[in-house]
Amino acid sequence: MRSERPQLDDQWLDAALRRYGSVEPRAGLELRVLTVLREREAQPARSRLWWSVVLATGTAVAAALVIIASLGPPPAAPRPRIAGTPVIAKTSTKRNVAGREHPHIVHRFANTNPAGRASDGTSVEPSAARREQFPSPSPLSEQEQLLARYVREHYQQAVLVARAQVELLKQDRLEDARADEQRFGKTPEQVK
Amino acid sequence: MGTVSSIVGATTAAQTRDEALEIAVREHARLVFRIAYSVLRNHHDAEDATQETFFRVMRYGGKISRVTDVRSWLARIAWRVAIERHKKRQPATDAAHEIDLLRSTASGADDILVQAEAANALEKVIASLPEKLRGPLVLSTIEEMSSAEIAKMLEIDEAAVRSRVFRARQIVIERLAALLEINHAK
Repeated sequence: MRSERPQLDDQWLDAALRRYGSVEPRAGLELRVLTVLREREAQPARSRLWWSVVLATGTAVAAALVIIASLGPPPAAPRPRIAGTPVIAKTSTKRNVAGREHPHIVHRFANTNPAGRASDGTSVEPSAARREQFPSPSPLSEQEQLLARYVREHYQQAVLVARAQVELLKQDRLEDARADEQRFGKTPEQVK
Repeated sequence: MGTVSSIVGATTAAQTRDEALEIAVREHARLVFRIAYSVLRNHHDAEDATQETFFRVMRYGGKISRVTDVRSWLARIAWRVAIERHKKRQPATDAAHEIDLLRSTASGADDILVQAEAANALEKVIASLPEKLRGPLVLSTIEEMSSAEIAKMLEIDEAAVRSRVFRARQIVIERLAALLEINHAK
C-alpha cells in the first residue's frame, strides 16, 4: 500500500514550518548556562592568581641570583709591581686601527688625572694598587724610629752631626789608605 | 574615602551586572536556543551557541544594564554566534548541490511515514535556500519572533523581511513538490 502525497499548500506549509521551528531545549538549560558562565568568570581570576605567583617566584629567584653573584668569590688581587717599573696602559681597538700597533706605555706616576682615567680615554688602574712595592718596605726598627724623630725635632743639630760623621768617615778612610801605602807601597787607587 | 566609594561602586556595578545577566538568562535562554537551533539544526550545537551568546554578553560587562531592548540585543548576538558556528562547521554549499544531494538520498520506501518524509524533505529544502532567504524564513518559524524583530536583527526593513519570507515559501513549496513527486514516482 503506497502512502499518499501530502497536499502542498500554504496551510500545510504553515503547519510544517511551525513544527520546524517549535523545538524545545533540554530541561535545565538556564541552570546549565548560568553554571558555565560562573565557571568561566572564575577562570580569569584563577589565571591572574597563577600568573602573579609565577611572577613573584621569578622575581625572588632573580633577586637570589643577584645576591649570590654579589657575595661570590672576591676579585683576584692586583699583581704586585716592582717600584719604578713602567705600566702598560690598556689601549682600545680604535687606537690600533688608527695606526698605533704597540700599546701605549706610560709611567705609573705620569697619570695626574684624579678620576683615574687618562686624558686620551684609556683606562688607568687605581693609583693605590700601583704604588705597592716589592719587596714591601719593612717597618722601621726602634732605633730608626728614634733617629727619625730626632731628625724631625732637631733638624739643624742632626745636619751638623751628619756632617761631622761624614768628615770622620773621610778621615778614617784616609788614615786607612796611608797605612796600606806604608805596608804595601801602593797608593789607595792602586790597591783598589 | 574616594577609594572606598569607588570599590563600593564597582561592587554594586558588578552585582547589577550579574543580576541583569541572570535575569537575561532566565528570561531569554529559550529564545536564544531556538534562534541558534534554527541555524544549526542540532541540539548540542544550539546549546553551545546559547552558552557562547551569554558568555559574550558577560564579556561586554556592564553594557547589559544600559541596553534598552535586551531581547532584541540578545537575539542579534545569538544569530551572529549561530551563523559563525554554522560557517565553521561546514563549508558553504550551493543550492543546486543540496538539491542533488536531496534527490540522491531521498527515500521512496512505502513504510516511511509521509509526515516524517515531508519534514525531512522540508529540512533539506530550507537548508538549500540562499542565505538571504533562509534567514528571514527560519526566524519567522520561531513563534516569539515578529517581523519587526526579524528586521531589526537582520538590519533590513520590515517590508523586505515579509517579501523574502514570501519568496522563500514559494521556493520551498516548489522544491518540495518536485522532490515528493520524484519520491512518489519511484
